[in-house]
Amino acid sequence: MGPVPSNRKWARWLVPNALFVGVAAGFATCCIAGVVASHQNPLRKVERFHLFICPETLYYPTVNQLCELAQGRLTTGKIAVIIGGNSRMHGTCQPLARVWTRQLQALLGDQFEVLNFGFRGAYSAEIGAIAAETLSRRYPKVIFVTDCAPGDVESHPDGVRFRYFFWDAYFKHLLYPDAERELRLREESREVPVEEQRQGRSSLFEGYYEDVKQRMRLDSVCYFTDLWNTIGYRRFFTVWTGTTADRPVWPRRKYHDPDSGPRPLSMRYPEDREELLARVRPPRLCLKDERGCWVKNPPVSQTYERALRTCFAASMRPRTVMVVLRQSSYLSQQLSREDQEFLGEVCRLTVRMCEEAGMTALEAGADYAFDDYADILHLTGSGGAKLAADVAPKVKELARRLGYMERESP
Amino acid sequence: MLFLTPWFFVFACAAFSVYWVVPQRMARLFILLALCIVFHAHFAGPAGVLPIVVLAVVTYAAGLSRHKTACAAGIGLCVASLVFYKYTRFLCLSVLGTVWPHGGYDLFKHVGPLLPLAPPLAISFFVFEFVHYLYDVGQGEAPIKNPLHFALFSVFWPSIVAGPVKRYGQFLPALEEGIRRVHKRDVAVGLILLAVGLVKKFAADNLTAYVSCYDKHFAALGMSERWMVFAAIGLRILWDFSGYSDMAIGFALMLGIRLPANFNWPYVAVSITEFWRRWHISLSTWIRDYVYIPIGGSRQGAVRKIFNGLLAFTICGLWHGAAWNFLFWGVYHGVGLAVSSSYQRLAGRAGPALAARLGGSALAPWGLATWLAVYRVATWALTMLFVHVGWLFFFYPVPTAVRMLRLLLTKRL
Repeated sequence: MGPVPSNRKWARWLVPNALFVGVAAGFATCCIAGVVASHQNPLRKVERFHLFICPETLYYPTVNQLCELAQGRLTTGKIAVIIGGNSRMHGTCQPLARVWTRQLQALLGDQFEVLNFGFRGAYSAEIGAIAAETLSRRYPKVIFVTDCAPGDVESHPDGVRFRYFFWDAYFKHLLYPDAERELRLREESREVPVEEQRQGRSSLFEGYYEDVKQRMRLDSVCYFTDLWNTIGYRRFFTVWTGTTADRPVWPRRKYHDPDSGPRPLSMRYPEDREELLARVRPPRLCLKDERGCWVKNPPVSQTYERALRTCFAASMRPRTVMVVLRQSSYLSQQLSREDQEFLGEVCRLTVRMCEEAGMTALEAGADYAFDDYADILHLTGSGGAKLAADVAPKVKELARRLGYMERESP
Repeated sequence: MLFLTPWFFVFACAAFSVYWVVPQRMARLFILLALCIVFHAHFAGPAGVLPIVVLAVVTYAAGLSRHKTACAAGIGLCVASLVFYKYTRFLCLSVLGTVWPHGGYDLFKHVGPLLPLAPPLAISFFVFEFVHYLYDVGQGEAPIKNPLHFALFSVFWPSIVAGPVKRYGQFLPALEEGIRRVHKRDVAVGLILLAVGLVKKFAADNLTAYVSCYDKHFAALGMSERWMVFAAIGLRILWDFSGYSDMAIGFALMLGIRLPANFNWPYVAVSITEFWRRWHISLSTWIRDYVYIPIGGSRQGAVRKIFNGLLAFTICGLWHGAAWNFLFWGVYHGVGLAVSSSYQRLAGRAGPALAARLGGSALAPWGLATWLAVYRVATWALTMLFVHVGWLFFFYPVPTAVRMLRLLLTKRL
C-alpha cells in the first residue's frame, strides 16, 4: 500500500480501495442524479426568468429544464407560443402582474399557452429559440416569437452571451440537423485562431469560448449543470453574488420577481442625448441609389441575410414570428427627418428580409407613445399591451397557416 | 485556474488511466514526459513553449559542463529572460518613465512589439528552478545527466504553473520512486488533497466575488463590513494559493511523486519569521538559499543583515508581479522581518529576567503560563494584522491601500 507520509499521519487510517470505490460511486451517482434532474420540472411556478434565476446571478437554466417547464404547462392540443429574445420580450420594466406576455395570453385565449423564455441580454436566436427548436421535436404545435432591433441580429449561430445554452442542446443532440448552421459553425471555428477561440469572445457570464464548448460537451455526459440547478433552485445555492449578498445560500425558489416597473418619465432618459440618439440610429442595411430610391446595402444586407439563415434553423423559420421592435419614440422623434426616413426604411426592409427568410414578421413601436417606453429600449405595461395587441393577430395567423388551428370562416 | 478547465478534466482522466496501467519504468517515464509536453503546449501555446525549450536546453548544457562560468552565464540568461518577458513594460513605463517619461515611452515603443501578449506560462517558476539548478551545480553539486529527467524537472505538469518551486535534489528521487511504483495509499492521499484543494478554491472564488463587490465601495461600507472585507482579502489569498498547491501536490502524489508541502497553516504564526516559514515555503526557502545567503545573509553584521533581508524581500515582492505595489509589499515584509527578528532577539535576551520579575510581582497569582498565553495571542494578533495589512498593498495600488487602511481606523477620511 505504501509508506505513510511523515507530514500526513492521518493517512494511516485510509483504506484506499474503499476511497476509490467511494469516489467512483459518488461521481456516478451525481451523473445519474443529474440525468434524473434534467427530466424534472423544479421551475413549474416560474412565469418568466427573472434576475435571480438567470445567468446574471450565476444560475444557468438548461435546455431540458426549459422544455420540462414548457411540457408541464402544455395540455394536449394547446399551441405553445415560446417567447424568446431579450429583456424587451422578457418584459423588463413591466411588473409581473402587467407583463405583456400575460396580456398576449389573454388575447390569444385558452387554445394557446404563452411561455416567456425571454432573457435579459439575450439575442434574438439565443435561449428561447433553442428551447423552441428542442421543444418542437417533442411537441407538435410550437410557434416561436422573438424580437430584433431594426437591421440588427446576431451573427453567430451559437449565440453571443449565452452560448452555453446552444452547446448544451447541441451536444445532447436536441437540435434539428441544419446544414447551413453546421457549415457556419465549422467556418467560424476555422476563421478564428485557436488562441483567440480560447481567449476571445468571452462574455460577461460565461468565460472563455473554448471552455464554454468543452464544458457543455462534458455536461452532455455528466449532467452536472442540471443537478446543480435543481439543488440551487430547491435547496441551497452555492455561489456568492453581489445581487444575492444578503442571503447568498438561499434557494432561488425563494426569490420573487423583483421587477417593480418603470421609473418616472422624468428619470427615464439620461443627460447624454447625442449618445442615446446614436444608439437609436440603425445599421446601414439600406442606402439611397442615384435615383434616390432605397436599396439594400450589399455588405450589410448579405451579412444580415446569412445571419437569419444560420442563426435560425431552417425547420424553425416557418414557425417564427419576428417582431422588429423600434426603440423609444421619444428619442426617434428627435432624429432628423432624414434619419427618421432612414429608420422607417430599415424597419420595412428588416421585415421584408425576415419574410424572405421564411419567417412571419411585423414592425412594432412606430406609433407607441412616450409613456409606452420605460427607457430607450424597454416597454412599460401600456407599451406591453400594445405589443401584445400587435403580436396576437400574427400568432393566430401563423397558427392557421401551419394548420395548428382551423381557419376562421369569412 | 488551469486545473478547473474542462480540457484538463479530460486530460487528467486520460493521463492517470494510461500512467497507472503501464507498469514499466521507462514507459512511464516517456508517458509522463509526453503528458507534461501536451499539458504545457496546450496552455502555453507555441509562443509560450519556445522560451522554456530554449532555456531548458541552455540550462541542461551549462549544467552538464559543470563550469562555473557557464552556469553563471546560464543564470544570467534565465534572469534576463524573466526580466524581458515580465518586467520590460514596468521598467520602461513605470521605472524609467517616472524619471524620464519620453525616454521610457520611446524605449517601450521599440521593445514592446517584441513582447508576446502575455508572459510565457509559468516563466517565474521555471526560471527560478533553472537558477537553483545552475547555482547548485556551479557550487559543485552533481548535474542531471539524463535528459529525460531534466525535461521532467523542467515541465512537470502538476507544479509548473503555480509551484511548489521544486529542488532537483528532492525531485529526482521522488520521480524515480513514482515511475517505479505508484502506491495505492499515495493515490488515496492525493485524491483527498485534491478534494481539499477544490473546496479551498471554491471557497476562495466565493470570497473573491465578495471582495470584488465591496472593495470598490469601501468608503461607503460600515466599519464592521470594512473589517470583514479586510479579513476576506487575507482568507481569499490563503485558500486560493494553498488550494492550488494542495491540488498540485495531490496530482503529483497520484503519479507516485512526492512534492514538498508549500503551506503549513501560515495564519497560526506568531511572528513574521514564523509566517514566512509557513507561507509559500518553496519560494521563501528559495529566496533564502539563492538570494539572501549568496549576498551575505546574516554573516556580515546587523546592518548588512537588514539590507540583505530587504533586498531579498524586494525581489520576492517583484517576483509576484511587475508593479510598484508588489515591490512595496516585498519591502514591507522585509522591514517587518527585520523588526521581528530584532525584537525576538531582544526578548530572547531579556526573557528569563522578565519572567523572573513577573514571577515575583503582584501579577504572579495569574502564573507565568497565563502570561505566556496572553503573549502568544497578542503576538499572533499583531502578526495577523501585519500580514493582512500587507495584503492590501499586494492587491491594490499603494494610494488605494493606504486609503483603505485609513478607512479601517476612521469612519470617514
